[in-house]
Amino acid sequence: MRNATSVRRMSRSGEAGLAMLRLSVVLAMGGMALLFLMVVAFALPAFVQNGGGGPFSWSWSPGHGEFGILPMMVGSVAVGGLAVIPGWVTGVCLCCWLLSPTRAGRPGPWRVLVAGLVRVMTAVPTVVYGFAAVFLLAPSLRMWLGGSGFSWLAASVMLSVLILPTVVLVLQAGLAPRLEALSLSGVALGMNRLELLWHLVLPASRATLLSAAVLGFGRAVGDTMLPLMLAGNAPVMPDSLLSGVRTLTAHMALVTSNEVGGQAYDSLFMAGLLLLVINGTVSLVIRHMGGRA
Amino acid sequence: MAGKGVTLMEKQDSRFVLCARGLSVSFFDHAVLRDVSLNVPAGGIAVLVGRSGSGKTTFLRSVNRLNEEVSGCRTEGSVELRLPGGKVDVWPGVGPDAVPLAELRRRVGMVFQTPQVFPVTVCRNISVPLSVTMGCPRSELDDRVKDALVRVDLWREVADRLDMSAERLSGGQQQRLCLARALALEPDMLLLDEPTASLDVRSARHVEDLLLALSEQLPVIMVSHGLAQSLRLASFMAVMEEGRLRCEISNPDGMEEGDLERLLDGAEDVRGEEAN
Amino acid sequence: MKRSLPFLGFRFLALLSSMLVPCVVLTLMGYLLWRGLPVMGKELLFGRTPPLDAVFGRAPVWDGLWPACVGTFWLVVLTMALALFPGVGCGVYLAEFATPRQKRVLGSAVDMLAGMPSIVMGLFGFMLILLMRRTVLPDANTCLLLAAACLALLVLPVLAASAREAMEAVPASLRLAAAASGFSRSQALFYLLLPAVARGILGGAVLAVGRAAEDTAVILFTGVVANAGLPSGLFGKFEALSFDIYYISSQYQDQAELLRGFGAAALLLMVSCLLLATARGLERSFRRRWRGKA
Repeated sequence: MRNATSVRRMSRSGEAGLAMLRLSVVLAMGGMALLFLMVVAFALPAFVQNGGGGPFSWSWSPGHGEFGILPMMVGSVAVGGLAVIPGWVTGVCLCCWLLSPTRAGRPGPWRVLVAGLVRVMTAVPTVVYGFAAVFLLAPSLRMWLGGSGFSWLAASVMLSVLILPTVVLVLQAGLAPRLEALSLSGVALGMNRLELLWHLVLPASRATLLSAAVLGFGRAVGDTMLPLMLAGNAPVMPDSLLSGVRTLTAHMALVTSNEVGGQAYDSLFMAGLLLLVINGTVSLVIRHMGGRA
Repeated sequence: MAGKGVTLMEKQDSRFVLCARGLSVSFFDHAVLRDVSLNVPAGGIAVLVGRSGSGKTTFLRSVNRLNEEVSGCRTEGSVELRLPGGKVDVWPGVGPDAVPLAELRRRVGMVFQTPQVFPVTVCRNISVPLSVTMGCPRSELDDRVKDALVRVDLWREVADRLDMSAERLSGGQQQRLCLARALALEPDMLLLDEPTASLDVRSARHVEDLLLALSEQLPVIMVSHGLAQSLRLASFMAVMEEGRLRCEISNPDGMEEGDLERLLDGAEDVRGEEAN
Repeated sequence: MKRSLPFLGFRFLALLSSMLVPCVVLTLMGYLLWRGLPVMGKELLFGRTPPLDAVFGRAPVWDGLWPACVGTFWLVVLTMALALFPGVGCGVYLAEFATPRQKRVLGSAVDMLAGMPSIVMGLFGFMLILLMRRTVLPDANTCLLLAAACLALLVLPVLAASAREAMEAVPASLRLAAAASGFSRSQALFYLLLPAVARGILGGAVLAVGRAAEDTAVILFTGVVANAGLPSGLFGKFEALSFDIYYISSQYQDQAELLRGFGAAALLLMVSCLLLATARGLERSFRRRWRGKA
């Protein structure tokens, strides 16, 4: 071949490109592996340590040498759990409403607007939500229900707003194809789309519904700024909706800004590991159910 | 009539441009071609006809090994080309006459049913494959692009629009551009997969005329849906049915559409919609 | 079909949610904009420092958002510089070259990273510094570069997912046509497919910029401070818009500072929405291109 050498050169450039791609995968996976290794390695000593005052106890009081993070663990689950219920219910309802235009096939302007708003919600920074809630929600709660306003309830309400777009988008991706598959024959039977969703699609989409809830819970537990700004951050077990709680994430942020080293840091690493485990489990569950994060 | 292929197969003559022996192709264990043996004579356009799903396209794609790009493909048997540049062992592709895949694909140009222009400018549609697969030096590119466009009668239409996105050309122009792209690589053979199926009548005629002219210069194998078109173009025909070769027609002159249709349908009743 | 009571309840809830959600969101955003927009202006950015002096770093800005904006800007630039190559490369590799097994393993790894709370990335950076102090660099400290590295880990899955999706949206016929022209797979990728999907990947990159600009938890651990002034370099402390918002909400001293907080929140909100709109626009034009061809 006349151009044999240059052909070889070109194909070598293709090889180089593939090598670059491989390198990028190695970099990405390396960074990720390092993250997991570090978190686990730093948290391990806390397991080894015995006696009272370690991370696995019910009292946080650095002045007395007590560094238990179990209250924060409960706080995280409580705040996340309370956020998921309204977030998920509203998400399911909103998603079904978005999927069921009254006029044949074409969503009206209001639906287009709300769908756009849900998209916009995905982009709103959590710290901005937090800022607005500090000056809007917390004072209102204080006025109507008493207390300081910075409470379990306030954090959960804002978290449910935060996870709403995630829930809606996950549901939409899962429900829309099933609805489309049914819609023509269903409409021919005289059912409207909302009826189809309620009677046929939702009962058949248990996995999608569940994975939306799990994903929402994961996001709610993993968020830092809203609990930090709104939950009041008292390191105790919450006894009412209006009492302050401290989540694992808020605890981590507070420890780094207030404490310097020692056992407080052990609790920090432990909290990190717990978050890693919780959210890793969430990812695995979602993947197992075939939904997409 | 199916036995005719076997007798021809024994004559290993350089009159043939393509020899396939016992070719079977399956995708995920679903057989698409079953034991096809076909010798395509040199000269003129060879046309493969058959109902959809009869394996024409798969046969065509086994000539430039394009089936391998689709997952789950298994090929058995052998395919051999006798090109002007020498014998080429396409499949299994292990003998002394085997050539690297990229070179095979360059030497056996292909045009698809729907025009597959690359999403770049008209000019780069031709120049990128030239420089990437042939290593053509930059200084020659412009001339070669022009030559290729002239050969497909497209130069007049796009000479002042070379930097426009190729996707904005009309369907017929896009298909001729694809033909030009294949020709620019100086192929020894052309494979055409229903090249006029997505074009209107005028553009289709234009492409047909081009193909007839091209077949004087290099062997052309084509899959066709339209019986009228097949009869107009073919100097050799192979009729396929359910993955098997049904018969070969080495001299289709004087045949009429009705004859061909009866061949396609066997003893079944005649359907008219094929003959558009 | 007789309409059952649960269904009527469901229909009521669906209607209710369609009213309630926009109300809540618009209230929150409207409140921020109502308080924040009036203070928009060069006062908000530069305080009492002459703008030109502030822009060229000749005079420090004490009562404006300018240092935070610059800090966020450099943070985002550095993050993208670090994350683009591994993120996009990972996505392209997953779509193009990965074996089914690799697809499963790498895909779930990327998914898992995407599900990690951002604070874990921050903690990772913090641990890195602790480790360095104990081993090779006794005076290592949290800094801009570290924050960017941790943010890069945060936005990596966003980039990988968008690159992968864009590659998978390319019609198979284009790949086939490229193969028929004698392109090898990597040649087809670099000469045809990547230029064709550039817009889709860019959309993902803009989304990633948004994620990097809004995140607070990561930088909380990795060197953000409230009064650093302009970032002094890769290894210096820095300010950031998102952190300023948090800081002001918890520590504001006077009404002026509070108003600055509202201004910052409104600014960040608008930047985020703008980035989202850009990303959506790019994505839509990318989709239209392939749908038009099909």
